[in-house]
Amino acid sequence: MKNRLFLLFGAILSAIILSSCGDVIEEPYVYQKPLDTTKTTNQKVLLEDYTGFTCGNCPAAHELAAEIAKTYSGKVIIMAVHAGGYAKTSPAHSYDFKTASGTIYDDFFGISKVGNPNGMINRKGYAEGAKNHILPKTKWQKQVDSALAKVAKIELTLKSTYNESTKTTKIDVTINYLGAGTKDLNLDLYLTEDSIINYQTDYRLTPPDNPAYAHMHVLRDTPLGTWGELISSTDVPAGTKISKSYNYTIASDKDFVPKNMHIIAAIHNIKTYEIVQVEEVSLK
Amino acid sequence: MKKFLLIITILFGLGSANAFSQSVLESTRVSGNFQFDAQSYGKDSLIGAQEIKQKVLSNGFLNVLMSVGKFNGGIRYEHYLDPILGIDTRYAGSGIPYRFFEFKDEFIDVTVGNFYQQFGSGLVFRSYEERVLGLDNAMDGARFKIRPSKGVEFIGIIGNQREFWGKSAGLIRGGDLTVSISDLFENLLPKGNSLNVGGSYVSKYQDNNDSYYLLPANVTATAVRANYSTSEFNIDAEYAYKINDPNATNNYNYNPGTGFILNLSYFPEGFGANLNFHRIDNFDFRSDREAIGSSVMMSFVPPITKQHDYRLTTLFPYSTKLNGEIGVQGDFTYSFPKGSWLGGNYESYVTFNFARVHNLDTVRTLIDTTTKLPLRYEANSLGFGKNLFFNDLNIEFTKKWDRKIKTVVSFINIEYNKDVLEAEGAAKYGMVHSNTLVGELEYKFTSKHSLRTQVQHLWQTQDSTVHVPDNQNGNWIMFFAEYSYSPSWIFTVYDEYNYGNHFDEKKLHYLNFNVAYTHESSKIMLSYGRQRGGLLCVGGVCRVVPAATGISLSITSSF
Repeated sequence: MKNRLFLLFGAILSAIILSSCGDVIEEPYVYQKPLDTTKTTNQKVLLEDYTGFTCGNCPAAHELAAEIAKTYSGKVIIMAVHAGGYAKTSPAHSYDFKTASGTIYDDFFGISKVGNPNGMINRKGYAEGAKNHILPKTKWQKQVDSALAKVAKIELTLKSTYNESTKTTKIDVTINYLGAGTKDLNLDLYLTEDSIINYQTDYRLTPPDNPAYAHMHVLRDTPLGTWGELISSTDVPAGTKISKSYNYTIASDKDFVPKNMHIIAAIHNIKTYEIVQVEEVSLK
Repeated sequence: MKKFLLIITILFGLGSANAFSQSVLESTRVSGNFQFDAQSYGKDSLIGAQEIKQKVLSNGFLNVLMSVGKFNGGIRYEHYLDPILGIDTRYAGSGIPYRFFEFKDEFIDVTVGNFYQQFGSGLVFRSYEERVLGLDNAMDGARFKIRPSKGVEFIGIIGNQREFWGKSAGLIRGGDLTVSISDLFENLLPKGNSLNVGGSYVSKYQDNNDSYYLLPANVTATAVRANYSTSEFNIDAEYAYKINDPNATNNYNYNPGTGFILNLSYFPEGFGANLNFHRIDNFDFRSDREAIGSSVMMSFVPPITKQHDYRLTTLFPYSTKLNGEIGVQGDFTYSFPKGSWLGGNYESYVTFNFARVHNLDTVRTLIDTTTKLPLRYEANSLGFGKNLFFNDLNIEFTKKWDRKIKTVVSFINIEYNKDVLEAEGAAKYGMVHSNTLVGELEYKFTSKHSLRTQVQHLWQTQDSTVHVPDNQNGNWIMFFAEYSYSPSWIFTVYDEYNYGNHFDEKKLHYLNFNVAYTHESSKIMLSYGRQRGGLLCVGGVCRVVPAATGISLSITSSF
């Protein structure tokens, strides 16, 4: 009996030693060190923030995204995709932020199934059945950091010439292959809008309602369709420049405010879905 | 099976080993069970049922267990082709997610592979499977249990939890000690009284490589508990403490977590009373700090509200708010003495149940200037907060009149904070006030034939500023009939009618037919009908059940 009790206490002791003690964190809880923003490469990053106006935890994510974009001024391009259950309209909140393409992205990448807010950085890490590409807001900064460390193989230049009377803009895209390029690349165009004043649930408020929230970077349309168009049907040698031109007309039934709009051009690999380069320009 | 084993033994066993093989064979047992569920989905836009491209979805499970003397082993095969609606789609696929090998004797148990385990009431650790929720957080690793003397047991565990078809990011280590004082010192307490004390310690390790927050890689939780019981009285208490565990469910809050559970029961002849209290503060403990929904949970809080079975009352299930709630429950049962006016000659009893759950009264003390979310808060008091989550008052009277007739009358009053319980706090619906009256009559024609009928009526209002057109609001009535031809057949038909819905096009009937056939240990069930959408909760953990119209087939069997 005694031997066995000794054995027991030995077992307990070794179990306690084996399972290490916990790490109690003291203030400050958030890293204060300045981030390395001196990255000199020409790579830019698309931060997609999947969101919805009834998602009470989403405004904090919007702000964090804005903070990240500010830190790496001009190198991080934000696109807010309203999709999934939190983007569903109701009689009280009937304004529909959803787009057909946004819903397709959300379904395809499985984001709102996992929950909102969540996002993707350059859609990196996508593989069918896995969820490595879906990033909670706490992981955005780190992924942006590593994506920006890359040296870009493609440079994008983007120009928009807007005609007020026809509500049409001419979009000029130049794709400059700094290194050899493959044929598996598609060009995507996204239209986003800032400062759409409408309702947003915000759990940081009591009651958690903001009737006049400024919705930023909202995906409004995809001029080249959901998955864009193929840039070249053959591999492209280094040094090649391909120029493309498109006209986009704001449909008469849309309430888009041109001065608040941006055009985003992105190039993605059609096999991995990863975005290899992205650029943004004001529509007007 | 034994023949098969015999052939194997003969083939591989040499002469001298035959006697041994023979004894192994005699102590070998193979058992298991099988479950198959399939559902077809048709388009039904009135109830918001989606049309499913696959038309039919199914989930299947097969457990096979084998024991030879002191050794046990087993596997579970599962398929989700594709998962039935409401079950997380990340389960899609098939395979063997569960396999284990175990050695067991009086002194020690050793398990390697998968296992389920609970420490105390589950506050700091519970690994379990709840198939209807699509919840399986089985451990994969090793466990030992040591019993050095009568009344003392130590359990040690290490491993990862299952996360769909993979493993969770965190590594779990833990130990639990239970000491039965009354077994260890036999003459200490009066006869029939027992006193048990216990303690658990769990530590979770997860990489803390984050560029924004300083995160704890090792999060530990400790719990102590005691139980004292006599033949008429039982008291259970457990207190748990968890160090800072910023995670996705608490919005990366750095407060430590605490949990306290107290259960009192008193059960003299003809009477039973239970009183429960719990206060849970920041105790959503998971093996992956980024997990949400019901995946990779480590903590479990026993629910403090009654789980109602009557169909209409399942519109208001309660899901435990692990990040902050305080609740109390009382449950009383009184059996009327035989021969008394209400008692009659057969069983007759009344049960009364009351539950109330509130938020905790807290104040934010440190806010992250970037995310605007609280990093720390303080509980203003140990008492109830101002926000009511759930209130349930119900009474049920059951009486058997003679050998043939039994009746049940039940009244249930529920206050349901739909915003908190279904819409994550968004001011969408407001509080739902409901009253439900149920009458049930069971009639036995003969020992083989019987009929059970029910009428349920639900009165409901909600003080919403907004009326979201949904398939739940307003009054409901339900008729139910079940005919049993024992031992094999059960036929059921019921209709739920949402006649009081605020929107005319949503005043719908939900009619269902169901037939079940049982043969020995196998059961086949076929249903057709319209299923209303809502929440399904088991033990305070919930999942969404999407509205659906179609046929469902369920087969279960054990061997």
